[in-house]
Amino acid sequence: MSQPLTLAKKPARRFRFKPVALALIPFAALIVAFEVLPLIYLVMTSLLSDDETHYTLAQYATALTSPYYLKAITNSVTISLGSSVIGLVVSLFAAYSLTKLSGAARERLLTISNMSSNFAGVPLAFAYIILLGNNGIFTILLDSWGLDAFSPDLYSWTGLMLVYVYFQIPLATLLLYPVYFGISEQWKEAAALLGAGSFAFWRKIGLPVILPGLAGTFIILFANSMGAYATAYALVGGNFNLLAIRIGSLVAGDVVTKPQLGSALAVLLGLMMMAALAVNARLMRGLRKEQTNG
Amino acid sequence: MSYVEFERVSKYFGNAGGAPVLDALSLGVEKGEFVTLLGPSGCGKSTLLRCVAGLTEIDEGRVRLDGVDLTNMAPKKRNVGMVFQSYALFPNMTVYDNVAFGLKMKGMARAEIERTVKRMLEIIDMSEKSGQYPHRLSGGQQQRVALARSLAVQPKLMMMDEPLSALDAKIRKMLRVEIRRIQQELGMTTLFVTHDQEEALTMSDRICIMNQGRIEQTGTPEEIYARPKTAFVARFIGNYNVLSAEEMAVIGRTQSASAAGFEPEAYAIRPEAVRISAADDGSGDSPADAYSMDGTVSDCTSLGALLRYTVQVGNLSITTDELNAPASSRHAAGARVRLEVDRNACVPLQG
Repeated sequence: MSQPLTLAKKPARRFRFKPVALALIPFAALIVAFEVLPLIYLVMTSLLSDDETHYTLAQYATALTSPYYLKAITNSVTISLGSSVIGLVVSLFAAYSLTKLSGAARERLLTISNMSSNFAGVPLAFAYIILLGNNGIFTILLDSWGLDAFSPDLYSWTGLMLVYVYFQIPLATLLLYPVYFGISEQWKEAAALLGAGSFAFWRKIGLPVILPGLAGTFIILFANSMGAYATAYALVGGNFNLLAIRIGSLVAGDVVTKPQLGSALAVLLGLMMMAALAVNARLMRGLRKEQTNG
Repeated sequence: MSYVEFERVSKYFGNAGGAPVLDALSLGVEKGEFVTLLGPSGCGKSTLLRCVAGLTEIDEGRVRLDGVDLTNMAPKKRNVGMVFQSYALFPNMTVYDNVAFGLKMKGMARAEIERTVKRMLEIIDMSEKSGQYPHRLSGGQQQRVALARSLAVQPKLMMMDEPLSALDAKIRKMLRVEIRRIQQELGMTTLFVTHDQEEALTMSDRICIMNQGRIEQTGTPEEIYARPKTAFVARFIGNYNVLSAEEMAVIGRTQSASAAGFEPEAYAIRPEAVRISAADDGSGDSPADAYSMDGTVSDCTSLGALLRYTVQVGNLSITTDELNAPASSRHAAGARVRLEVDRNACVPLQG
């Protein structure tokens, strides 16, 4: 008896219009126009044949079998992992010392970190070139002092790593700095009274507690450098075989453009980042579960 | 020499020369004794504990424990335990690992650690929760684990910094009894900090009332309660009526001739020592060894077992407690009442 009544009620509730939903329209439009549509277009393009006549998986086959593109992928992963690890380790100490500073000094350093973490791309590459390039100030100075053995080759892996690390450290510092506030001063005091020195405290309590924050930061750093294009391009041009540079030249290169293959590589790049995020989320869930359910 | 010895310990705000937090404080604590530092916030009681633990440096004086000078020793070498108001359990470790932490740091053998932790968890009655993480426990349970964690390493001195202040009233009362039981069972020398006078009175062997970095009075709970030495102690420990000599003269107007006889500056009268009755039911004959006065009830609050009256006698406001017996009738606000105080219930105070 009551069944038809409830059935009749449901649609009425579903169609009730909430004016506040109007406020979401600009946001939704933005997401659709700049996130969803380009992504669909990217995926569609990656599935097209070179002459765009039919759908095929050929682009993915090329991307995953050609040694040239595989090398670009491993190069990108290597430099991203390397610069993320260095950035994380350095900022682990940098962020901790930030928490120990007075308010004013901390604010100033945070501003500088904020600025330098956004100081990437062509200006950063240019800054490095005039300081450490073939005719850079320090290169010339070291040469004139007979110390040219110590001047790093900016256009090598070391140089590229140096530039990547430059923008990774401040970003990691900004991300890690609030994580340290999750550590209570009294844990340190309690540990000290139980016989633990500073090292033992960090190994047994401090680091395990900030581990989720560390992992999250690492993923962001990794994604940040996987996607870095302008910095590398401005520094080493098309000569360096990195995934982002390959995609760039396939989509907007001077000689031949192959947007279909470029799209396939871009989709692969996106999948790698999603995989990294998924692994991170999985690990963290395991960790939290352990600490929540015992 | 006492087991724990504070010798003119001073600590100043900022650099030496600032206002004193601890002002040349001296105190001795005997082995196995439960001593409570009681005082309002900012009186220096927590700072004193932190100085013993080595978490705060002292500026002058010495602290000795069992004959060993602790003054410049690193915290982990001092052999003292501390329980914090915030529990400070390690969130990434289970109850078992929290309690085992100090033992592992000492490099104790695994089997020995297991045995000790098991015994500690039995003492605090938490054996079943051994695999739980701290955030799954209630505040009271967390504090018991914190206690076990400190006890496990068998410190020479146990210190507790307002350990019950973050807990609700019922748990607080239960834990009071439990902490006292464990302390007596293990003969554990304990320095306990609180601002709750009831807690201090029910748990301690000895109470030190602290004010502005100094100890105002030391004594057994009974001594402190019955014979406060200063107006500060009288006000802090109970809801004592503290009256100046002139105010005493007002009360003693029936014996007006002796008004000049109130020599000390101030007197303390406990609220339960003041008898209250309706103004008209007495015949006016009060015992010769009592002061009596007439006043008007300005307020009456029920404290459960007690009724607390505030009575206006001239310009004086007197607090009096009466047993809230079922048969007794309340004096409503505005009622005229007669108050009586035995003369020997007026405790003379210094300073």
